[in-house]
Amino acid sequence: MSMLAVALALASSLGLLLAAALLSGIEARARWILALAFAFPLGLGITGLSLLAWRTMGGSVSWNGSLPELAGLTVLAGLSWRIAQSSSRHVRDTSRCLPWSRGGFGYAAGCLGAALIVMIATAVLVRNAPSGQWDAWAMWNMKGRMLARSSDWSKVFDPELPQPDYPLLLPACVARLLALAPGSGTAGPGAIAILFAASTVVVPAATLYAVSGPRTALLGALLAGGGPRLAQQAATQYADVPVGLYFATGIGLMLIARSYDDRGSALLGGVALGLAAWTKNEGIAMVVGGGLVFAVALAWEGGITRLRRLGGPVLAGALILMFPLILLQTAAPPGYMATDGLVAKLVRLLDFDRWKVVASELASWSDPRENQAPWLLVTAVAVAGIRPRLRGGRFVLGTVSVCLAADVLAYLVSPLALEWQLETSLSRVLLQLWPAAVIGAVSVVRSEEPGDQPIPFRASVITNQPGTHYP
Amino acid sequence: MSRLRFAIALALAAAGLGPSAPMLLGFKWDPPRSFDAAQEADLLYGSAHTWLPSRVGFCSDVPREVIDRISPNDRMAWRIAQRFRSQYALAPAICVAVLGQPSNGQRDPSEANRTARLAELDTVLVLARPDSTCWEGAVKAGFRPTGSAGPTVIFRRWER
Repeated sequence: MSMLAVALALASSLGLLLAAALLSGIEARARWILALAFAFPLGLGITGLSLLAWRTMGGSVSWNGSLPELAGLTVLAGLSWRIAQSSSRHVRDTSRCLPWSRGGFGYAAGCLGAALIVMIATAVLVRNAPSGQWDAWAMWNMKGRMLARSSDWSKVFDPELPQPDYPLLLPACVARLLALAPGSGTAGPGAIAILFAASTVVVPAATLYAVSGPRTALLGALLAGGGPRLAQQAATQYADVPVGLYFATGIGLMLIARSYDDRGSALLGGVALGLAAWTKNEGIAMVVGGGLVFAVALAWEGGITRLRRLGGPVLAGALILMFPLILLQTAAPPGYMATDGLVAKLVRLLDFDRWKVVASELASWSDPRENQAPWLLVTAVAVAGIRPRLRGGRFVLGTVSVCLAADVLAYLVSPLALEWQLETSLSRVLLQLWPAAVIGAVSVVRSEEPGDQPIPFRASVITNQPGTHYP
Repeated sequence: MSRLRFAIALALAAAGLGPSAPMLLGFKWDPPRSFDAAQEADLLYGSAHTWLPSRVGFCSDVPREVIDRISPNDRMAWRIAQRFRSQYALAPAICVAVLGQPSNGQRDPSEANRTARLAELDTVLVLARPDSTCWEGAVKAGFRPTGSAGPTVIFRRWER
């Protein structure tokens, strides 16, 4: 257990230093709050990918090799932070958005309290079912054990396995923990599930703190923690909560990049979206949808100059991870979507009855008797009031809408039995979008905080002048 | 006024955490969903033989009526795996299942292949009736029984 704690601490330290390095253009207080919030998902994801890279190059996984490798990565991240800190000339002033007062500490404590409730709830559920539910057993954790222990890692693509085409980030994270703490058994995947659940509260809160202020952050933390069966879904140890968290992290960082005209945040946002694609197939739609909506938003407000300035780093961050993903997935057998051709898919797409079934399931998901979370979100935002300028929120909600449309399209063309597929996956798919939807919805709330008074976009801001931000 | 509105919004948002609160008091989660036994066995077998590090597995040959008797809302393999875990200190995922003779009397067409693959394992935990094809297959593959437990279902630990 102690080795497991060391492994998680090392991975989080790596994420903390990397985030601090890339966010070096943000004022120190905001930077470290954001870096702490993003530390676990980014650090664990990157250490998982480094293990996968090592395995694909023929290396074996062992404690002896993993500990120095992870320590080396952490030192490298620390060095890059030092270099970034010393070379950063323009630091954005975030003080308009981050009033630091006794009240601010109270709001921060509220956010941490919400995360703690979700964390404990997930931990109780994990204790009751330490191996999670079926897919965790059959796919995510099992492939993690294969990556950690099998002499031939490529057997994770065995067509006999369930969903052999799924990307391997989560199994690689499990394998990393198994390599560092070989005796941890089910504790590693359980700990990952608990920390991902807590981060699902912390990441939206930190993002909203940075772009608006502590009151809005608390509202976001409470709404994110009240996501539809969040603790239960996290405790299943499926990939839905992690992919939703990476999506929210990417979108949140892009919102911060847009607010403060900060390229480091944009690059890290692209990396987070790439991690979403590595987590689950839906993550690819998140990369494409997030990238497209962000590009349109940037071009709309600042033309090609702003698009290149902030869109370029997002694209670079995502491509760094997407390129090896595409290479690796060529080794995987085709998924169920490839079992028939385009014509059959078009026939299903044009079947009006399938549209009715999907609409009916979406309606029953949002029935307040079944699921209160979306109604609480809408009501809380409506009661608090909406501020007049909605640019940031529009970008996030636009991205969530595009991803939802992609999910609906996937259901409509899927060769699997539609009713069964909706019954077994719709609630999980919608939960993937929940934390990002909370960021989008709450970022438009009128909170009477400094972030409510936006500075209109000015061309001079592109020249990287401090003390300006876009709402 | 705006502060009051924001306070109401916060209270509404906090209500969303309500479903998590019972967990803090230690209440248990809903019973896990049931799974189709044949599908489960297929998945378990198809996966486990490919990665088993210590070449350990278990076979299951539980008639559907027995599974139903355990608990209609429970997962057969979950229950079994928990028992294996507690008795043999094995992770639940270290499993390989073989359905020797389904309750409908029809033999699984890939059974021969599965039995042959048992030979790849050093140790196998068998959940099976003594007269079942699973049992026979394990014997043919060179395993022998070393113990038993449980009044509801029969299982044996086999070692080569």
